[in-house]
Amino acid sequence: MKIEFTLNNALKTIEVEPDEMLLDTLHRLNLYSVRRGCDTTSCGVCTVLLDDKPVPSCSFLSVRLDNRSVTTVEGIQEDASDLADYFGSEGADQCGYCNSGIALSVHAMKQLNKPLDEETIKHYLTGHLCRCTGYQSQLKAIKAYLDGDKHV
Amino acid sequence: MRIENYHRATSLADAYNHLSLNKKNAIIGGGGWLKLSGKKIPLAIGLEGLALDAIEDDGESITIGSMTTLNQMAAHPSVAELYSNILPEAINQIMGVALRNIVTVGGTIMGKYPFSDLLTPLLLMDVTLEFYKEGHLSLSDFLNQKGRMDDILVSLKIAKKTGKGYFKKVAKTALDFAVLNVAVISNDLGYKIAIGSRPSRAKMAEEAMTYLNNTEINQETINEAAKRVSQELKFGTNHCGSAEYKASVGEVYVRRGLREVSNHED
Repeated sequence: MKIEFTLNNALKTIEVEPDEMLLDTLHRLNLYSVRRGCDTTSCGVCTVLLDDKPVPSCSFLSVRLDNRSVTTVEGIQEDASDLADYFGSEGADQCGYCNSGIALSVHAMKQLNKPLDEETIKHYLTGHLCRCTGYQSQLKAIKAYLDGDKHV
Repeated sequence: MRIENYHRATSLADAYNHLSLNKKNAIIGGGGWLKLSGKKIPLAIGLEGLALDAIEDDGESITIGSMTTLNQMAAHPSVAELYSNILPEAINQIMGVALRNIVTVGGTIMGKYPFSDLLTPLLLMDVTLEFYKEGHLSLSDFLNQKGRMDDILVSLKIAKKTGKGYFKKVAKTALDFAVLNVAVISNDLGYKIAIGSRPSRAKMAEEAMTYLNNTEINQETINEAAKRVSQELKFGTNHCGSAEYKASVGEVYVRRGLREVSNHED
């Protein structure tokens, strides 16, 4: 089936299979920053933004992308790079497999344009599993990043 | 799930016509659980172009389109007003934000998922489902129907009533399916109790509710009602826990729920 959608601010027209998932479509388009994890919506590593909202790309049918907008970490490079600095400063990064999914959820939080307390940040991060860091260092880094704390 | 063909419906009539072509054709809700099924579908029908994701409050009831996502529903102020925020409370414990951005309320209802955290509190409310062909049906009647319904859920209407609500999801980890979920509400008509993920589908504890609604509410009657719930409902053993464990945990949380909604704390 033919679909037309916006991918990282560029219009794309491609053919997809009826049961092709967004994650597989993105890999076909060489966007390997979108990771494959559990493949059943449980781990968060395949998160992308669909119309600026985080969704699990492993379980979203690509045929439903018509006239919609998808953002991967390649589409938010400046923000992702800034966030990476905060992650580095807090030691919030080990294997890095979960980072691109988390970066997109953090980007979605930032787009809310309002101060977010710790509980709200945790709420947004629920569903992102990280097997390395224990979450506290990530949480500190994300709070500092959202607060624009340059002292980190 | 293997989907051989996909049809983007242009109207409800078009969707129904395509659904009727083959018993194995299916409407796709949010698609959150597609990977968990091994079914083969000749034709999947998508409702995403039919603008079925609106929430309207007319003062007496809240009408929610079947393609409304769980996050849209949880964020709506009218939904939060129902029974002390009980629906957002239940929804926000379902895995992560990302999943809730695709899972739809229509898919949750039509799937009759036994593990659903939303169906348990929803069952306690006055909920009417609107189907394209069959017209109106109460949520409890729909859930009690056996087999698949070859129709399209258009919306659900929740009567606006004030009251208190309590919801408890018992799970081994925050992102896991519930070992058990418990919902209790109270309003001017009395008390209602439901338990889901027993592991079978959510069910109301009718006998315990009748007992409770015909007696004075105090610590003793609350304890007795909770005990009756654990005896009345059928609990089963699965990988999450034994039937005995579920009955025992259910009794404890029904007791806590009743104390909370009746203001009879220890």
